[in-house]
Amino acid sequence: MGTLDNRLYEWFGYSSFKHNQREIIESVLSGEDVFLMTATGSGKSLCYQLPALLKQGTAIIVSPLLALMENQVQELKQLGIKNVASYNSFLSLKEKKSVLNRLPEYKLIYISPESLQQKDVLDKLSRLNVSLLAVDEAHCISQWGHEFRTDYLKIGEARNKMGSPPCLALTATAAPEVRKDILDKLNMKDPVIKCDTVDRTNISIRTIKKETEEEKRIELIDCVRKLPKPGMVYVGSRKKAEELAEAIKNEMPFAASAYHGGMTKEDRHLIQQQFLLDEVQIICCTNAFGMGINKPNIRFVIHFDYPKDIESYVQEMGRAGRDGQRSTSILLYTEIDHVFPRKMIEWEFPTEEEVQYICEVLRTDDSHDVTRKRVESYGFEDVHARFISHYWEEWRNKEDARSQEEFINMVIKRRKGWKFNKLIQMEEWISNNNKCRRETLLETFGETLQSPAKQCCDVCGITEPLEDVDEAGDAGFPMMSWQDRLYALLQQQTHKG
Amino acid sequence: MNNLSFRQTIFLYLSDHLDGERSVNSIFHILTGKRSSQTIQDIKWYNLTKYFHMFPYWKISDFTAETDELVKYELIDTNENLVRMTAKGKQYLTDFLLHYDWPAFFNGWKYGQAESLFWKRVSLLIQCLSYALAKNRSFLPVFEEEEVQQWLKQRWPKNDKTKQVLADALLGELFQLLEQLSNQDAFLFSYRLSGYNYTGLTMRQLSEMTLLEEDECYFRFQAVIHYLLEHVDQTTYLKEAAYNLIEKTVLTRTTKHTLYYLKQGFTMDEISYIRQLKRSTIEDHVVEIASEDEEFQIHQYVSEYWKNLIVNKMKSEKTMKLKTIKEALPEPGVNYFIIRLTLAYYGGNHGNT
Ligand SMILES: [Zn+2]
Repeated sequence: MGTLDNRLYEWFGYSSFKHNQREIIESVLSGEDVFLMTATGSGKSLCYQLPALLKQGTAIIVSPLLALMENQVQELKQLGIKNVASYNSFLSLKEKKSVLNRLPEYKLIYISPESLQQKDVLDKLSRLNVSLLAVDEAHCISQWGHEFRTDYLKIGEARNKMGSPPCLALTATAAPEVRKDILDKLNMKDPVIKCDTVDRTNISIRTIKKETEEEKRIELIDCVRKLPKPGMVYVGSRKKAEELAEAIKNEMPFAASAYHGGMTKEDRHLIQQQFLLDEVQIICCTNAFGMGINKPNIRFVIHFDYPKDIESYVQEMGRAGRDGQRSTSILLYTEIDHVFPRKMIEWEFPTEEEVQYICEVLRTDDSHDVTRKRVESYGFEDVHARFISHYWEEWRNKEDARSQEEFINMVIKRRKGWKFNKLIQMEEWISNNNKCRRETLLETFGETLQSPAKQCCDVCGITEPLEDVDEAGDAGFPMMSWQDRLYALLQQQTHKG
Repeated sequence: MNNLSFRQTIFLYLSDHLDGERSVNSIFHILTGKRSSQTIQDIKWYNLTKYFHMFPYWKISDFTAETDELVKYELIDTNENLVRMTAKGKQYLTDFLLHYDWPAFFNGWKYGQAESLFWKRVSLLIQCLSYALAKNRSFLPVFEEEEVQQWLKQRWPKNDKTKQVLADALLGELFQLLEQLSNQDAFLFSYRLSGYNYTGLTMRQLSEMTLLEEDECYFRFQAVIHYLLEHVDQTTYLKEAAYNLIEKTVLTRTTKHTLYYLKQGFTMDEISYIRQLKRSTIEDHVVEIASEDEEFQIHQYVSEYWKNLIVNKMKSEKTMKLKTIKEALPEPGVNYFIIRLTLAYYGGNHGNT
């Protein structure tokens, strides 16, 4: 086995593997299907990168995060591994062609799930010697798949067209039924299953019930004031993200900022960067924040609104304490909080009348394909249009005896039911004050508590850490003249002296 | 009445220029930079090219609510769908203009299309230089678009020495240009930039630091970009960031298409047939060309007699309103197209009569 270590050092500069990396890599090398659940930032990309370089042929890495894709390609290139490329909608036509024509020259290709659906891409891939298919963020197949990532559902089909290469599915969180869904949709046979525990022993867990939204707000301000920083506050809407960031800034000497999908891409990037560099200490964000971000020293995650399922909760609170240091997760709720997430789930799907209407329209002219664009042209929003076009096609393939609207409404009913159940599970976990929260959390992932955490949860009893008052008080951004700032930006060497 | 927002005030300012001759929506189209023939004519006739594309992100729903407020405060009235200033509105505007310190330069018509890419290039270049000089390679680029990255790749200095030379030169060029501006405007620009140890500020954060409204920050920041674009010819390195961005004539794509056929000698009806577009659409294109294209020959469409009549009526009636001009003409025989064309021609690049 000496050669694996040698390669690891030679190519990546590491002298040893992290916990179960070696086992996983050996399984992948021997051609087995592997399901891997492990926290972000624990070196999971190595589990496909190293085998990809060792095996004959080209490895295909499916990833929904464009920025992450680009970063990995850049990192590999900086390590001197040049025969890698990414293929996604950001490339120009010329660049796309160039990548497609040189496919066999690459050891790794990162590709977005959308691009994987294109016929010319699939044709090329079907004639390629694919060494390995790795699917990153594999939970998109189940947790979001039916609404947001219908493209993910077709990865299984694409895998067949590529001649069923060994498959490695990676995810940070997946409850047992989601895991089952992933294995099923990717046609994985007798896979090796490696799951890290979802237990983050360095993060204490607390839920706090309040009577009103205003009381929640006061509690939040109090928590933010006392807890060590930096930290994140998750909220359900853009407006609230703005309001709370404003409130924190007004009441305390900390730099706080909102982050949500309504901001320009440039501003979102700036906030993310400021947070990484500790220029901003508190981020109030919707769940648009966090995908692919890796900041080790986040000290707290507070949920001002609770997420719609436990997986999201675990993923979001798990952004705290990546450095292994003591961190805090707090979830605030009131009795009336159950209304909003239910509305959100309703909005994710077209209504029965809308389905009825669109099916009638589409039937009168079925000479054209039912594409997302076509459905959109009848006034449907993107997400709904994707959903309808996907299930219209599935209805056609299955030659289902029911009418299209019956079929689609049946799917919606099933999906909604599933989502409501997930939400209820989340709510039951929040309000169950009789049993250790860590234990109940682990149970939903089919795990049992191995060793009790030192600072466990509010049921077991915890003491929150307090911020050293001296550390606080560094509000806002340092002021300097515009000349000094320009100078500082462009005269780094002189400054170092 | 509360104080008006910055963009409401700008709306008033434009209303004053178009007094009673245009609708609320036509002002919306000017401020958001809609490149339609009608809007383009409006900005030419009323000499509002500068204000074109001033708030491209303004949503129609917000806009409607904000203009309704102006009506409620009795600053404007919008009878018959035309915006008229009230005495109260005029007074408010006068007070504002008395104290308002306009940016040194802003021209949305000329630079509205170039501003975004120019800024992306400059800010990516400075960020990369800053990190390179600090010998730090791990950072997320402020802009990831391929076209910006490609532009940078082609110009990226090969070694440490040339990097330093480029940084020094850029610093010198920026100092020289920004020194002509107010401290506040130069501040907006330099604090929006990112680099090693310094991350740029969002518009919200700039607004908190300068105590200007976010809209005004945005406007003044773009004004700095326009100012730099206007003066890049005085520079060597900054000029590179404007490479290929500034076009001489600013025609919409479809109009360029029509111009191509015109130059081949096709008549307007023939072009209408070839392009399968309505005659009125082709007329819109020709009007746009008349105002933009310096080579446009108006006498091919309008006789000297009519041309003089229309221009005189425009001056004597002090209006750009087609109906008023048409009614003031001594005899029928001239259609709206001819009037629009004449007005566009003299309102545009040929307006020295
Ligand atoms: Zn516990």
